[in-house]
Amino acid sequence: MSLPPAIEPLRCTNPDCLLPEGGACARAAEFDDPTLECPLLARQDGLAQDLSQLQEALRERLNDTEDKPPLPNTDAAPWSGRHLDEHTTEQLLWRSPARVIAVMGPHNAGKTSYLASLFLQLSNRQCRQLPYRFASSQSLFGMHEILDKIRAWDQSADRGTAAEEPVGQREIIAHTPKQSGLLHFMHLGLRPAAHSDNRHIDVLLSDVAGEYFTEHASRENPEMQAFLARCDGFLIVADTGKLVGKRGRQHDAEIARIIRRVTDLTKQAPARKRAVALCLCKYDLVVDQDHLPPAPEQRAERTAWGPVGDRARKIWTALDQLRPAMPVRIFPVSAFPRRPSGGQPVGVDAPLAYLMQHLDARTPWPRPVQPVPEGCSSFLAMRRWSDQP
Amino acid sequence: MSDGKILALLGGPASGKSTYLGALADALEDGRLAQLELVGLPGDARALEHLTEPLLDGHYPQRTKAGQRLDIDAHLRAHPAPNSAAAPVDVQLRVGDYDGEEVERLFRDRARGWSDEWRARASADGLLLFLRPRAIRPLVRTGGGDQLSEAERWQYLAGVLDTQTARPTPGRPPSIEDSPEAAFGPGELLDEEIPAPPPARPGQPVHIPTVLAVIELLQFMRHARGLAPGERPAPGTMRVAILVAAWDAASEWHKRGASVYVGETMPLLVDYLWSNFHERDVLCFGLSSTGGDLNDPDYRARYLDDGARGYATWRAGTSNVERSTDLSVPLRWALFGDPALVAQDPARP
Repeated sequence: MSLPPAIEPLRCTNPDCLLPEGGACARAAEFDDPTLECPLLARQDGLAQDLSQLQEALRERLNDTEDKPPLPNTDAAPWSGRHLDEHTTEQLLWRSPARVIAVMGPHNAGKTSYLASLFLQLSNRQCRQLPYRFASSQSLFGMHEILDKIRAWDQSADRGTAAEEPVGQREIIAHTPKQSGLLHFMHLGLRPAAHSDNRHIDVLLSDVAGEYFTEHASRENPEMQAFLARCDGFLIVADTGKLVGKRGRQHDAEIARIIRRVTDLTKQAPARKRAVALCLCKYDLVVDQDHLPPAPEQRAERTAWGPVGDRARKIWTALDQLRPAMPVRIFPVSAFPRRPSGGQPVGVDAPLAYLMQHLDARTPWPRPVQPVPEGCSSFLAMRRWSDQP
Repeated sequence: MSDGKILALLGGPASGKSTYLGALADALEDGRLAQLELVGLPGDARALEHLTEPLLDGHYPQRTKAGQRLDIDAHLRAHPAPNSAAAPVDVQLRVGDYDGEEVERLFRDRARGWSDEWRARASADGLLLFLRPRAIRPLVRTGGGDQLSEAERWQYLAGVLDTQTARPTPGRPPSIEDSPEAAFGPGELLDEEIPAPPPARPGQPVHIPTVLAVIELLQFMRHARGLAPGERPAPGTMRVAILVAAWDAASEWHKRGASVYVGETMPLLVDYLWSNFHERDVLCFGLSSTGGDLNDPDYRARYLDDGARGYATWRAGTSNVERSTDLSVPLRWALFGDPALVAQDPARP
């Protein structure tokens, strides 16, 4: 990632940064050379990193010392409630070690529908595989807007279809515009369901236009690569209906190239622990009594997936190259097999539960092993069984 | 007199705030509340009149108009519990009623509306959160232990499985590897937890949550108090009483209680409160301010003849659902906690 040179003497808006004082960058773990890569350092193109610097820069540009910028709005809500932009994301990353998950896939693969369905399942406490409960969100209003569209779609009476009718390939949620930018996240605050665990975990799920991934798959985009380098997990969304359809080979190649871009990251930072979940979304379009998804222990085998596996050769080849570098699992998902009033989704929480298992892995303290003397009696002898694996 | 306690009433449009305040004020003026007394009228008592006058005629108070504020500032004397050895506490009760659409406006228009009044509510000692279901959702009838596996749900989509006759797949027994609670049992705190909704069957509808605006408001208020997400305030410093209004219309849920109703119909709100407040600082009440529907002519006639019949119900621990005709119970619980919960407290003649 190429950024303008840093202004000397160094100035950084991160209060924990010691770089201006000759110490270490607060985000040294993320960058090989913070003076070249950290976006928080003030840089020579004149763009300020905080409000006061921006105001000063604006004044200079206007060449009018009496032209004061407007006072901050004291009546405004603490946050916008929409998808997090770059500035809000950076603030949140300062506050906590958030888990950043890139939701990747081409246009109309089902990324936003998946996120909406996931939120609905979490809202209704139906995420049985996810051992967390909802604790907070700074993008509730953004989610509210998406749910309003889903509600309107569900209640529309002119479609002539019953609620139990399959949704098929109909577009449920409008396409995420490319103008929303690359750093466009949905925020979820989760709390472990176990009472003994008192943590609050921020999870950022990207909701980015599919064109970005398609373009990056064809030609490496440094901005996209820098974004992916900061992610802890990858949720790759493939359209199963398209995979078995007329453009299946193209879709297979597209997804495979996206997977390979993720594999490239492991070469840059091989020690960093990440995980990948491949979601075969819209799986309801292919499922029937002869083509049920394979059991979890068989899902790594392409041949276990029947006609879906037959059309996904490039994807499996790319996954085989990715597997040595990071854990991968494949999930069949149906975010909206019916309209919401007609039935439940299937498999929506499993990919996130798998990623969180890796992103929130905690190594338990090793149990101390105390030898039990031979020939001992009573209580000491009873301990012997617990030492066995 | 001790420092005034502040209680904040929150709720969306037509959630029952005005009716509750009116019924409470009427009971205070009549002296019908055993544990709460009105010591002195406020200088400007028009707010009280606005709320109580319609009830005296058997009508609901008019909904608070857009942008209108009704501030009740009353000097009360509160007893935490009947026959309590503790001395009564003088309380300056400041309750503001507001137009419920304001919550929706604040949710949508982030640029303005988060006023000093809202910030003042954020420092309240207790919150009374009014929820009125737009439609009382019927009780979900499910068989015992009917958690279908993911494989069975795919079979259902494929048309292979009939969920009415399917027998659920037994899961593996819990172990200490999952969580301590799985191995050793729930423990005391979980007795008071609002129960989770049952697993949804494949053909059941997906419910779209309607409480996002209220959750966002609670997030704003906690932010104003300097609480980080997930940080629980010290026990007893910020209690949240959830009042399900018009409880008389939800007869099907009476036996199971308001906490079960809230747990099954508003699980997102329940999760948010569980994550951000101590369990003992959250309690669900079923509230009927008037005891029945005043729009029903027969009930209205009985209401005018026999006087007020409002009541509040709650479930404390795993015991039965408790009930009291003392409408001040939710308010006093928000101030004093569990000692204020007394069932079947007889009203004064």
